[in-house]
Amino acid sequence: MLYYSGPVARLVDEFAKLPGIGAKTAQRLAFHILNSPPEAAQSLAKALVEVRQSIKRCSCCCNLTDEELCPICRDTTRNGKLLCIVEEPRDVIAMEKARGFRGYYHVLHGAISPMDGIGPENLTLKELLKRLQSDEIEEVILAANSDVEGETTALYLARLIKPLGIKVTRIAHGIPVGSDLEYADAMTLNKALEGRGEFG
Amino acid sequence: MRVINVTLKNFRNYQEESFQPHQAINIITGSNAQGKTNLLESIYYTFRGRSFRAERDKDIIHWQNDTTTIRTGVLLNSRNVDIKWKIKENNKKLIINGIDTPRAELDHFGVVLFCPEDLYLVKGSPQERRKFLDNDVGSLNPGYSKTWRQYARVLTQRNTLLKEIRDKRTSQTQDMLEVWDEQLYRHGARVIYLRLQILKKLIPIARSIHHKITEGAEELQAKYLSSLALEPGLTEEQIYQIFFKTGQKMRPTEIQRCQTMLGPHRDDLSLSLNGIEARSFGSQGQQRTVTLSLKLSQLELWYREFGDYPILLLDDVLFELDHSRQSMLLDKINKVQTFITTSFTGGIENTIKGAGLLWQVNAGNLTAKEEL
Repeated sequence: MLYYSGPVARLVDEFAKLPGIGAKTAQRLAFHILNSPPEAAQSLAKALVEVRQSIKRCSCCCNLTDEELCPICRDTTRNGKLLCIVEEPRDVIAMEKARGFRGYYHVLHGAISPMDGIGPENLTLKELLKRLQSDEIEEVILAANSDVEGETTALYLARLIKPLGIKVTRIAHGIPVGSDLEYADAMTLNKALEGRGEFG
Repeated sequence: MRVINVTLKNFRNYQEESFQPHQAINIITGSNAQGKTNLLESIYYTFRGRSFRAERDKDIIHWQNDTTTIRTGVLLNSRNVDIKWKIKENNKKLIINGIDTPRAELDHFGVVLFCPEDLYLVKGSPQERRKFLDNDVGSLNPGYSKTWRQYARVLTQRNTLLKEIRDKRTSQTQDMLEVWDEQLYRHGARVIYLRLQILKKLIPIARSIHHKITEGAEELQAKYLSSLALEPGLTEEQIYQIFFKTGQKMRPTEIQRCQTMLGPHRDDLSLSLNGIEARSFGSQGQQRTVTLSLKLSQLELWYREFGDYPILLLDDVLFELDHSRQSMLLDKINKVQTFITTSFTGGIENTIKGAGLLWQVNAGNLTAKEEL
């Protein structure tokens, strides 16, 4: 880092800590900021500070929001009988973009993983159980990822929720829409076969 | 399947090297420590995404550089495939035909390696035979490696949890363990089931090859030894049930020891000759022949399953075999593209006239010496 003066080096280091950013990209971003007008840097810094100060978890679904209740939880036109449980806030965005789901969400903020020290107590289960007791929820859709940790989390939640008399379902895993069978790996194909539905 | 060309850059002691192997037999000769095995290693790496002798990727990178690339042109079912690995100390990238590709794609490319360490397959610890089950046997089913990786992941997670339970660092012990158990039994049953499915086809082939090599003198028996009490012909669901029942009883001991005591990671393969265990009672030569039979059966089964022979790599093992076994081997491989390393050719050039190339390695430089 002898090539940069102190503040530039610090900025490059900070950028390089971000996911997907290597040393070269970090350097490019830093010089981009140095070359742009001072206002651009000001507004970037302001946006960064504001996002950390104002964003918190929705008191109901634990999604990220800048208000007490997030826009989805405030939307009364949605189907209150359906609750979709996802691992991360970005999963809510993916589901919303697909526009196929009109119920409510609950964000766990992670998946069970002893290796990373994440147990059920680190997820937003307290908030979830509170909702399940008071709300009119009839079906819980488990939309955790299909990796080992996501699968385990789904299994754990199913055991937790079923005794409450609520229907528990798991999103299907299988062949992506519009793709060819021959490109699917054996495990995906088997999953798809297991989850086949009646047709025609 | 055939390797058309190989280009190495900063791989071990090769700074820049490119060669077009012969479609049948390639004998790579040279003095010790010139880089013969390194060539085999690069071909193995191409298809498996790891080395068969380096623990870390760092070791295969030329000592003056931080990146190595292996680029291999392969002919697979009359399709040209360009496989490129870009390897750094802590990350590696697979690029097939110019596109970043997940490693699972390589499961369709076959490579069989026979090296001196393979003798431990017979005389070594069960761990060596599990390595054989996972790397060699497993490669005969394209879904195996993914299944095994998931099982390994569950195993690590569960063992971490066992430790936390013992040290009382977590509150929700019993519930949590039950969920991981469920995952362990599901994935474990799948691993065992796949292993048994492949072995059911592989063992008869190995038996008949062994019978032929020994001219009927020795009967090879191979049997899967499971940590679970399994009978032949079980379905995956039945294996799961057995795993579930036995696993429940083992739990208290497992918590005490922080180890998962049952499952495919504890299983073994028993190998015996005429009813006598080859591991303890077989001679060096017998053990070598068993290994040879197992390796050749892989070639054969791969051909039956996929209609094409895999690439064969023989590292320093040809001249450890006696004359009849040598010719048996050379006879078997006349349809297989083979790479053989040796410091001494022993007149083999004459046996395989017209079917190969002799290569000379000298301090990281490869030259085609003569057409055989």
